[in-house]
Amino acid sequence: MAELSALEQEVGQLIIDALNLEEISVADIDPEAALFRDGLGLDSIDALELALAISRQYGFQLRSDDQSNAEIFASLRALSVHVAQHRAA
Amino acid sequence: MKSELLPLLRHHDSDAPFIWRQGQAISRARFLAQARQLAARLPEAGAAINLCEDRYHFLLAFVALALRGQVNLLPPDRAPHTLAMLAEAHPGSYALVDAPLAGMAFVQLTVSPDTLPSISDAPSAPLIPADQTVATVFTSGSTGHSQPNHKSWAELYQGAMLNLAALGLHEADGTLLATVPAQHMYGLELSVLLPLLSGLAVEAGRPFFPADLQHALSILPEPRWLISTPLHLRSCLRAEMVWPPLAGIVSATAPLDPDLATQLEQWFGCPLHEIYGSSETGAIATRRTAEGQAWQLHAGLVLQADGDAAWRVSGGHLAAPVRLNDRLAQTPDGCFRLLGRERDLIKIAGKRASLADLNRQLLAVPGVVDGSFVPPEEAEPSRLQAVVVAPGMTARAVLDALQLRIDAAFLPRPLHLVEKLPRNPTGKLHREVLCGFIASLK
Repeated sequence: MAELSALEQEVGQLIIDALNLEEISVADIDPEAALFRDGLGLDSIDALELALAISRQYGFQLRSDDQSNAEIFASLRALSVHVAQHRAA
Repeated sequence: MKSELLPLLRHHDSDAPFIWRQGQAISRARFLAQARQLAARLPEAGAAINLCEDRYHFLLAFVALALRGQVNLLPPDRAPHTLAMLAEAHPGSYALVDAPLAGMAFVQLTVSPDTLPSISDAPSAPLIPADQTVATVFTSGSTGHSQPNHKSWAELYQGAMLNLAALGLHEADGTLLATVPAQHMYGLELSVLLPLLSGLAVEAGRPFFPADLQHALSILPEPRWLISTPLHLRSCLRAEMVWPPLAGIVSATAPLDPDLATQLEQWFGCPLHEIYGSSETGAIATRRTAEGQAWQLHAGLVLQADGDAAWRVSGGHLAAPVRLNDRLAQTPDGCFRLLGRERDLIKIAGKRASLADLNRQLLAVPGVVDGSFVPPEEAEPSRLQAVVVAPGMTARAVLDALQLRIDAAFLPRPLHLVEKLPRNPTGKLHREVLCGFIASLK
């Protein structure tokens, strides 16, 4: 499995904490696997919960019109890139 | 007796905006001309699956199908299994889509307004027979065993009139923004039928994140109404953003906590009305939740006791009495209170499922020998759990197979793989035993 960057570790832990995924640890998340459907099997309730956690921790609101949800949540890696690009300085 | 005719859309002011899309208005006249052209291009069939998520596309497909006398099949979810079963049950049917879905066996036609040139003449509003079946909606959000509900135009039309009256919107000419899919009864009634049959215009998009809603509302003309669900409204409140002025909020799919309703009214500075209904009945009652828990039945509807603790509703837009799935108590002033759902029904994120159906789907997964969802304590749990016997399979593999069959909201989290279920000698699984069994796994 690919190495996780520091931000990927952090976003991965945020996902686990925000969504109460007690059974897994950050090390279990494949950074390239889909977060929704195939990978962690997350859905729209989780997407809203995650959007809130991200806005609190990184100071920006997720929008699905600049980029589709599918792209933002494509994987832990994609989500981390999105956070890196949009987080408040 | 010759069937009565009813208008398919209100057409008093044909130049008035009917649909808004990112700040651009589409007038009623232009919409109708495009719907007529789309109707002329549709193949011969009895019914078509209207899968459009964009409300402009959905409305074009909805009206075009009605003009051709074809039924709008509105699937409860987009699981490939659900769509395949729906197509199979309607031989010769096809689907109308925003963009083709991969891996589907049925014919898909893309609804694209750009290919439907706008004709300048303003033909009169079309009339269709009141008894024509215009749409089929489905009860359960979970499985292929959901029950179809056939909706005549008379029922939908009269239901829309009752909704407009109950919400005080019959003379309104504002705008609607909806977070709910048009394929569900609530979304169909509030975001499709209301604009068709009133002076209200609707935004084409289906915003998802709070920031999407905020942006979409900010570019809609006032007065604006938000059509949403407790799930989305709660997330809007928690996002602590500044909202453009709203004229009103409508919520349905699950009862809203009164404290939350009060907070929403304060934060958005507008009244919040809840709607009570079901796929079988459509909307039948409203309440201003911040002011009281009792529901006011729509005008002309009547509740009647139906045996032990069950109720039927009749009158109004309903052609025949319908049995309700909720337990309720009538109040002396003709209102009612909800007492809770029947045991087998559960709701997650506004989607309804039957535990028996979910268990049938689980047991139908190849490799699953035995298994059961755990009946939740609450009628509206946040997630379900399941225990499954599937030798040689991982939990992931069972979930992958299951998500082809049921809506993602009902996927068990967690799914416990076990060697044997704690069935009693007659093969029954008691909830208490099952819960104790799960506790012992941890």
